[in-house]
Amino acid sequence: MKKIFFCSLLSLLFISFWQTCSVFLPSFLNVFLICPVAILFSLQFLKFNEMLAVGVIVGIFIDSLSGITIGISSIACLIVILVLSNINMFLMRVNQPIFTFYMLFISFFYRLAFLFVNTFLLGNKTNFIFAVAMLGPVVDALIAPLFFFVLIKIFALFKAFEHHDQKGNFLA
Amino acid sequence: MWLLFEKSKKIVFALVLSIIPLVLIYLQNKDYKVRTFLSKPIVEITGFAEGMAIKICETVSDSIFRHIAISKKYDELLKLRALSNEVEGLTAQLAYFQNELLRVTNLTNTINGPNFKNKIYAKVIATSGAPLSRTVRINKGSKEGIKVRNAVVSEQGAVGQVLNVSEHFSDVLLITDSSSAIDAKVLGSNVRGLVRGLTNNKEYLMQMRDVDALSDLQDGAIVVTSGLNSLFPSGVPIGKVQKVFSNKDDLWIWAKLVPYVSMSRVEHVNVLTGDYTYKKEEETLSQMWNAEIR
Repeated sequence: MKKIFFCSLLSLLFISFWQTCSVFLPSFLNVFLICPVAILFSLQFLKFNEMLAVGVIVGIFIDSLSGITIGISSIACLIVILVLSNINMFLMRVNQPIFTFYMLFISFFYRLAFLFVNTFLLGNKTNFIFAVAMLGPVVDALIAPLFFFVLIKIFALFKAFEHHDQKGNFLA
Repeated sequence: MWLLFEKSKKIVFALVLSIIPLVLIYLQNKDYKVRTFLSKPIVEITGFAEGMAIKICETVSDSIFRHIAISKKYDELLKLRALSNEVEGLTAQLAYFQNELLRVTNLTNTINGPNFKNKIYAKVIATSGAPLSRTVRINKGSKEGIKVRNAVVSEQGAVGQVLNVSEHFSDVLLITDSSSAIDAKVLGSNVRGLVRGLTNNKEYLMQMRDVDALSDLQDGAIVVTSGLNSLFPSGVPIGKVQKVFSNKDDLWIWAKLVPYVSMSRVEHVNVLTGDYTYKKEEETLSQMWNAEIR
């Protein structure tokens, strides 16, 4: 429960901070999404049930703050988590270059999943901006290490890691 | 059945969890107010956090902009200071050139009488002798028509006589040097004498010796060239009497003179190349010098 709580809370605060920074940043950089970052973190540090719970909660937060129908991001997160949790390679701790690659892939996959849910499941008319889809994963990959770093520190501070978690091996 | 459930626990849990967003979507489609109800607490919390974050960002950006503005102002200040120093230097240079112009103008104006037709303007380029100069070098020589013993004057008065001449340069023996001697007289009286250099280590001085004790020579009297036995025209100021001394036998007196020309600062001179003799115009010239000196 502690992990779900801290992960969700930090995602909410991160999104608040990013939305504040986007006031000062140029608009083309305003493509960051917290969901893929939270998904990768949960794939690496949380159990399956915790992953799903974090996905749903973070999705609800994102939809509330973005102005779209609440629940779309949650479903997209669930789809991504269900698919990626069966691929063992995403569950392992990796070094920095491979971590960046994972982040790029998951972010792009999440955006496709979101587009799929929004268009095909709910029947909404949406625009797919190719530049955003290409730049978004890059921005996510750049910011993800900061998110990971802060969350791991919080987990360590509140002793949220379990016995088998080896936080020292993160990004070895 | 239970075994199947155990194996498909993940999928079951995922399906159970996915009901939540589906229900939310259904409720929102039915009544959009559900969205407002759900998002209100989230927006409140994030709004509070965003307010604090934007205050921090504004403070940081204001500090950065202020720092940049101050840095720019500081750079501007440094540039202005450099410009100000340059202007000060140029002003000082201008004042110097104006002063030089005035001195050269005075020089050409004062030495412009009918007796001073043959004159060559020269600039002092070097001095020799230590600690006080004995000779100065000027930048004109035999090529311009200068000869040995030609008189050299400045706008203030007599400077010396040409000692050595080369093609482009000449050495001038200053009147304050002990080997210099000029026939002179006291302005406004008949007192005459020989003015010799009396330079010591501290100041440029001259002496006028063997003056009749009965003559009316007093401190502050003006001594000018007599025009006799020298190539100096008459009436050129030499110096002022600093002090009068009497000999032991009280028959003769001698006077210590201070030259009019600042020997350490003389820069612009005229070399008188003509053959100057005593003429009646000497009285007019004396009056002219008097007017300038006083």
